[in-house]
Amino acid sequence: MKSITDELETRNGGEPDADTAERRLLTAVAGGDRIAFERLYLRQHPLLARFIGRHTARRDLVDEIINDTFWVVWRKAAEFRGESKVATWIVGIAYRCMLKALRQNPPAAEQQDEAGLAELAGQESGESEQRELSDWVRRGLDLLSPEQRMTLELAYYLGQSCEEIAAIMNCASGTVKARMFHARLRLRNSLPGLGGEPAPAANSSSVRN
Amino acid sequence: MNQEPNAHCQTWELIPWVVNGTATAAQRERVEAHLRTCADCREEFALQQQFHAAMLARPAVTSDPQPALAQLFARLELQGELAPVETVPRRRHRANAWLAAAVVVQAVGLGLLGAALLHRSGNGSAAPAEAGYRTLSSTAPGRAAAAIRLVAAPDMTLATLRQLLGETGLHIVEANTDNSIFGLASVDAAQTANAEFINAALLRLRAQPGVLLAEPVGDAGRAP
Repeated sequence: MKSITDELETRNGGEPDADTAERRLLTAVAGGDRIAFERLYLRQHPLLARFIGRHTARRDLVDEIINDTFWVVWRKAAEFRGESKVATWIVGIAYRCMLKALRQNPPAAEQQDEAGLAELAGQESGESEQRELSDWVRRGLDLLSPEQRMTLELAYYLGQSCEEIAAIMNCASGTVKARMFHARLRLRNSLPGLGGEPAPAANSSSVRN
Repeated sequence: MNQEPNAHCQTWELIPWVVNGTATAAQRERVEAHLRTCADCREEFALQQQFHAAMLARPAVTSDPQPALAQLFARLELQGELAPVETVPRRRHRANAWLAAAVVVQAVGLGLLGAALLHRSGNGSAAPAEAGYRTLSSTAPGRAAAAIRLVAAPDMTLATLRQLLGETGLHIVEANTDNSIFGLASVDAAQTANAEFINAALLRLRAQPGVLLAEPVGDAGRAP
């Protein structure tokens, strides 16, 4: 008889629905399936590492947060009710684990590392436009409140919907919309334009609220 | 700019969700219709697209997840959440690398254990009857109890491990069956119960890049 992980393996490559696959993995995890747990961990690790890596330059802390997240996943898998995508459920756990870890390990001393990372990113790309974009992102995000920044990152970096972000951050959809609104306004008011063009006007007149 | 104000506001609010691909088809159609007639919203849409692309363009900080996963498995096993397994079927292309790593770790562990046993017995030709595979939970009579559990990365060299043990004044007194978890105690038996000594050793061990897990055993390391 094929195991769940074997079956997923045969579908690898042409996987029609990542969430369906992850739901089946999570169900297997709830039954104590170590291999399914490993498979789920390896599927989610790159995304979580990138997401958490935006908030701390410490690789050890990134792995620690991911492991704290999956420690909870292992223990709570049976409690997943399917109200969201599995990935969204896991990102929600990671979000809470990250907030706790960053409270215990304030990132103040890491600013230089972050800047260095951004510089390195530019060097790796080898293209001035790429470097400019990366720099734009880094400086722009620093201007936002933690909630605004997190909202923008969940939306643009992880591709979460408004409702999913509300579930992850445990707030109302209206709050997500408001944070996104203010984040965009702040960015428009503060960031220079790309390619040496003048900064976009504050242009609050274009938002007729 | 003779657009209906409500449509303008709705479009402005929906733009990020169209940009990140999570808006519904109906929402996308509404936004597209408005963009055809509103220069302000087109500019905002282009700006958000640039920002979205810029965020995605930042190179990912990639790392090998296997050491962290091994650490998590060790943590779950130590906490009794997960039963240790003797063999876990894995995908073939990973098997060779892990097998090689396991052989290295096993060789290092066996070498150190052998050296420790010879040193303790004082007679290399007469191994004590109780010598053999032991688990962390079964301490041999008369042998120092482990004060620290250590899980090292599979690629940690014997030289690094020896140097680390030398610096911390520790030695291996126990190991699990596959030599992936070591029990450490102070070379000076009097120090094994010294919380200050154990905490200092833990800090040094955790600062070593190849150390996946270093934690006190029982009450070791806790101030009285």
